[in-house]
Amino acid sequence: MFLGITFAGSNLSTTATSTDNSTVSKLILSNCIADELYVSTKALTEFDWNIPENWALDTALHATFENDLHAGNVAYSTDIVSKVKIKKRLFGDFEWKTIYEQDVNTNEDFAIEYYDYYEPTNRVIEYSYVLEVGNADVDSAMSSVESEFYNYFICGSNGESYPMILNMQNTQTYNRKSAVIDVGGRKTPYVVHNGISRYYSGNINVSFIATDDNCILDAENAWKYRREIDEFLANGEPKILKSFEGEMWMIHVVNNIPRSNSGHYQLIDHQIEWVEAGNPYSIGDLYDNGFINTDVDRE
Amino acid sequence: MQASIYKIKPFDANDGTTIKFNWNGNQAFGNRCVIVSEDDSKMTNPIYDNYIASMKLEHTIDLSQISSENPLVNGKKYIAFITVFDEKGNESDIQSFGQLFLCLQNPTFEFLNIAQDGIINSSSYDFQVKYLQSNGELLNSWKISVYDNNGTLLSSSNVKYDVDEIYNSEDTFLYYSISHLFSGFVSNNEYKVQASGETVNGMIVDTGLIEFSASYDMAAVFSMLELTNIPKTGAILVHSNIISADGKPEYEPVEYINGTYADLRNNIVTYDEGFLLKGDYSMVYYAYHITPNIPFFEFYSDENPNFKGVITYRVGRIGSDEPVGQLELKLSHSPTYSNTLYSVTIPAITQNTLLGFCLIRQNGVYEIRVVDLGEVA
Repeated sequence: MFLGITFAGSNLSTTATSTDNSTVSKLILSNCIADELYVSTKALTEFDWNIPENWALDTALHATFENDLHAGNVAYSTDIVSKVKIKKRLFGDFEWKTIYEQDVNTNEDFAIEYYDYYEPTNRVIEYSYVLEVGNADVDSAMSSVESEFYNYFICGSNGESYPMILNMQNTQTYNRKSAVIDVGGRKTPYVVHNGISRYYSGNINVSFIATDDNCILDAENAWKYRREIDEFLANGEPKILKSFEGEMWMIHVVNNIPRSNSGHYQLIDHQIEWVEAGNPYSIGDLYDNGFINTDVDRE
Repeated sequence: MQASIYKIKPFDANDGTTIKFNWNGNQAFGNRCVIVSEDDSKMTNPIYDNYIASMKLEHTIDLSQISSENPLVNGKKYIAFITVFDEKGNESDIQSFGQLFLCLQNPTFEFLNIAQDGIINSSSYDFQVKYLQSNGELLNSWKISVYDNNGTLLSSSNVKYDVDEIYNSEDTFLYYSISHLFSGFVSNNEYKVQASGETVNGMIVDTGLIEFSASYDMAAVFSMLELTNIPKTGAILVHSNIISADGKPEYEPVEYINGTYADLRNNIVTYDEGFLLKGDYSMVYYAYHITPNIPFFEFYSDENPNFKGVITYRVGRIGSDEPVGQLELKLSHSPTYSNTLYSVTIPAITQNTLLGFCLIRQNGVYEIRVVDLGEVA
C-alpha cells in the first residue's frame, strides 16, 4: 500500500492500481506462437506457473493448441449437440432414467446446475451427463454420491423442500378394500377383496420452525414460515414425502390443514393428512405430476 | 367316460401341434385323435383320424396322416376329438363337443434394428420389433427383455399392449411395430435381447435370444460431474462445468508447429463463446516469437464496449546496460480514460523464449506478472 493505493501486487509486478469490474467476454490472440491459454474464475495469487491438467469448476477456458483451437472441455459444438440430459439410477440398477433435459442452443447450455429432490436417503445414486448427438445418447461424464439426510422432508415440484424436524410423527395406513359378509349357515364369513387399489395414506404431526445455516431455530419468525408452508401444502400439487430411513412417497395433501398449540405459543403443530398419489421412482408418474421435465424413459 | 381336452393354442398348419388332455379312467395305453372342420361336427369328413400307442395324455399330430385332399389350412378353425384306449383296447366315449382350435400361419416376429451379433453405437437403444401375421391375427401383448452375457435379466419393458401400425408413403399398411428404449449399455460389453408376445388368440411369438454388443466412443469431456449432497434441503446438487469454446481463426487453416503450438504470427484467433468472466479471474498465457511493441493479447467486454485490455511486450534499457523486457497492460475504461500497468522487468527475451504472463483481477484490481519459461527447442 502506498498513500492508500495498492501499488504493487507482488514481487513480479510493478504496478496494480487500476480498478474496473467490467465483464470479459472476448479474447484475441495474435502476433506470436501460442503454446497454452488458461483462464480461471479465481484470482490465482499463488500461481506457480504450472497450469493444472485437469478441469476444475473454476476453469473457464483451457487451450493447449495441439492441432486445434478447443478451449472448452467438450469436443462437440452446439452445431451437432441437440440436447444435454441428466440421467440417474440407484446403485445396482441397470437402467438409466432421464430426469432432466436441456436443449442446446448456445455454448452456455452445456453447463447444468440441477437440484434433485426426489431421491431417498442412505442410497448411492449415480448421475450421468449425456449429450444427444444425432438422436443417439453419448455418455459423457458420470459420478455417484451417497444421499444422506436426517429428517423427514416434504418437497414440491418447483424446488420447494421443507424439513420436518420438531415433534415429527408420521402414522401410516396401507389401504386396501375388502368386505366381510356374514351369512346364515356358515360359521365363518365370506371375505370379498374389492378391486386392486392398494395405497398408503397417513397423518403427519410436525412443528415447522425455520433454521439458519447453524441449525439455530428462528422461533420469532416461525409464524411467517408456517404461513409459507400452509400455502405450499394447500397448493393442490403433488408432493414428495421422504423419511430419514429411506422411504419415499408421492403424495397429495388432502383435507384441511389444522394447527394446534403443543404447550408453548411458539410451538405450533401442523396436522397434515396425506394420501399416496403415485410412484416416486416412476418416470411416468414424476413427469405427469410435474416433478421432472422429460418422460423419454417412461416405463 | 370321456377325456377332456385342454385348450389348444393356435398353430401353423404346416407345423402341427401336440394336443394335451386329461383322463381319469383306466390307465391309458393309446389314444385316437379325430380332427374335423368346424362346420363338420357330425364327423362325416375327418381331416385327421389317427391312433398312437402312448401312455402319455397327449397326442402329437402326425402330419403325414392328414388328409391330402382336405388338409389343415391356416386361417381356418377346426374341432379336435380325443378318445383313450385302455390295456384291453377298450375305447372311451368320444366328446359331444370337441375342442375348437385355429390354424394360423406363423407370424413374422423379428427385430428390425438389431441382428445376431450386432453392434449398437450408443449407451441407449430403442429396440424395434416387426410383427406381421398373414391371417390378420393381431398381437395382444408383448415384452422385450435385456440380459447380460450370462443370461441374468438386466431390464425388461414388462408386459405392454401398445402396437404401432406402419404404413408406407402411399398409405399402404406394411406391418405392426413395437419398440422399447433401454439405456445403460456399457461400451465393449456383450448383451442379449429377446422379445416375446402373445396374439389375441393365444399364439405365442418369440424372437429368441439375440446377442449383441455395445461399442461407442465416450464424448471427449474432461470434467467430472460434481455431485453435492445437501442435507439441509434433502437434495443432491448436480453441477457440470462443461463448456464448448472454440477459437475462431481469421485465416484457415491454422498452422500448427509440431502439433503443440499454434502459429499466430500472421493470424488472429478470437475466443468469444462459452465463457463470461465476472468479478475475480486470472488469465494465463504462454507464447513465444513475441514481437516487441506489437500487442499479442487483447480482451474485451460485450457489456461495456469502451472496455479493452491490451498486452504488449516492451523492451529497453532501464538503469542498466543490458536490455530488459517487461509486459505492458493498457486498460481502456472509456474513450477518454485509460491507464497502463507494467510487470516487473526480466532480461530481454529472444524470439524462441517462451514467455508466460498471469493477469489477475481481484476485487477489481489488476495485476500482471511475467515469467521467462526458457527456450523452445
